[in-house]
Amino acid sequence: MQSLEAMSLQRSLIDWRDDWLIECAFVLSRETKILLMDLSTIPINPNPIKWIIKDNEKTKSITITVNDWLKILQNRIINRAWEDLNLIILKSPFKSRIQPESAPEIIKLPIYNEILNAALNESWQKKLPQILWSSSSPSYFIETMWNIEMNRACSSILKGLE
Amino acid sequence: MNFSFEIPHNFLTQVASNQIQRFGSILKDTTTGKIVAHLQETGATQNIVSKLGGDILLNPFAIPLKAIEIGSNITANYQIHRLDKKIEQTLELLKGLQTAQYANIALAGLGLGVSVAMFAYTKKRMDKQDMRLSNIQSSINLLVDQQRRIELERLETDLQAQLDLAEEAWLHADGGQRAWTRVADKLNDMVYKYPKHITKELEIQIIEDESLLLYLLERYRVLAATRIECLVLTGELQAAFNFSKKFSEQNEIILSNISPLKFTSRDNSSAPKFQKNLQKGRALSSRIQDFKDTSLTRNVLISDFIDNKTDGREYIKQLKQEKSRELVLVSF
Repeated sequence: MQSLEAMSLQRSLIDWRDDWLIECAFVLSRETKILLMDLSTIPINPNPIKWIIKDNEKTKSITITVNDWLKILQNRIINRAWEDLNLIILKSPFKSRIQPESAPEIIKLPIYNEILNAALNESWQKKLPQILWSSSSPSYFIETMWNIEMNRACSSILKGLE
Repeated sequence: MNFSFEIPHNFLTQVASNQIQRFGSILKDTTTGKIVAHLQETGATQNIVSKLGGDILLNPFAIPLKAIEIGSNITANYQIHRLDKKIEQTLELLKGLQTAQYANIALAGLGLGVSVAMFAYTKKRMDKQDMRLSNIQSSINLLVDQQRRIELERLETDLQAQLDLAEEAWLHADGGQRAWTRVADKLNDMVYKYPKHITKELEIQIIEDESLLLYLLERYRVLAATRIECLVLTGELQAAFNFSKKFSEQNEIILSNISPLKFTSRDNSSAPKFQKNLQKGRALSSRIQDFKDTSLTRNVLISDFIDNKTDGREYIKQLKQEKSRELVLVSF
């Protein structure tokens, strides 16, 4: 049987994961709307031969908007969640055996390209909510990025106890 | 007698100075690693339920949801296991044991230690309208499979019969030995029928109405707790330990993927009540984790019974006679 301290730490990690999961869900449900609104203000290029000339200005604007939005998300939930996690490690009886965890950076993960490509797509109003947050389907962002990264961090910590 | 019942405030100083830590229902010395006490409910535990607003709330899994509904600060207690808040919250929990304050009974009702509820009381509780399948109107409509429904209703009736026999056994000439053995055997056949129903319920992507799930969990919990109690009463401590261990291992499997978002509908995520729904999902997932933890730490208590050659019947008899304290700490 695992030691009681290890079981206790495991429970703390489960609590950490679940606390930040609902925080992420709450933030995404609101911030996705804001991103959609911001993207809708980017003007469509009236140039009639835009199918010949790539609309670099629009692409640039969209990329900047998405990057700025992701930066907010990174700071608001991801970095804070990992700070919280490292505090749990610091206060645990295993602090000398566990390395602090580094927060994942969204722009370095595969999902960044998926978000950006969705934003650049003509059907961005449909594709972006499918990735980030919609009322009709699970959040791809939460399922594939958030959950995976959180579970990875928890596994890595518990592995350090072996 | 090789066990004693301690008063929680005896441990407060040691908890405050981190000499003692808690996990589940166990208090442990941080220096020696020795278990110093187990949280154990008594015959007066039902007083906690009545203090929560009479007979209205009978399913302990639903306690945090009720608290959210009425705006109680018990919602903060779903973080009782976080290490950075552990000392403070363990202190609150132990102080709360003396007064059974509503806000501090985060673990109550989940069956701390070995169940010592009067069989008659358990039967009365499970027979209440709220705790019966027929009362879960919306979920009944979802039970398309008639076979499932018939099985669950039969299990309800069978449990009532077993609890009747278990209570009557106290008066039997042989001290209840044969009757409790029979009850334990029968409950063993019944308890393993619930995991498949629970698993089926958890296959639903978003559980908007958790009433059927909570019904199943509470029935499952009571069956297992009653079986363990019967085994302890008949002195079959090794059997009680083996069963308790299997039960907690099974819980780890069937309840492994509980997430707060499972209970939160994404519809109306722009509405103000969405945040409240998230809190509700969080509280429910935490409650289920608490149930897993208390199941796990019960194994350690029974293991201590075996090591200390505890007379199971005497242990339960003494706890039943405890009428003024709803929860005590047990040490050997």
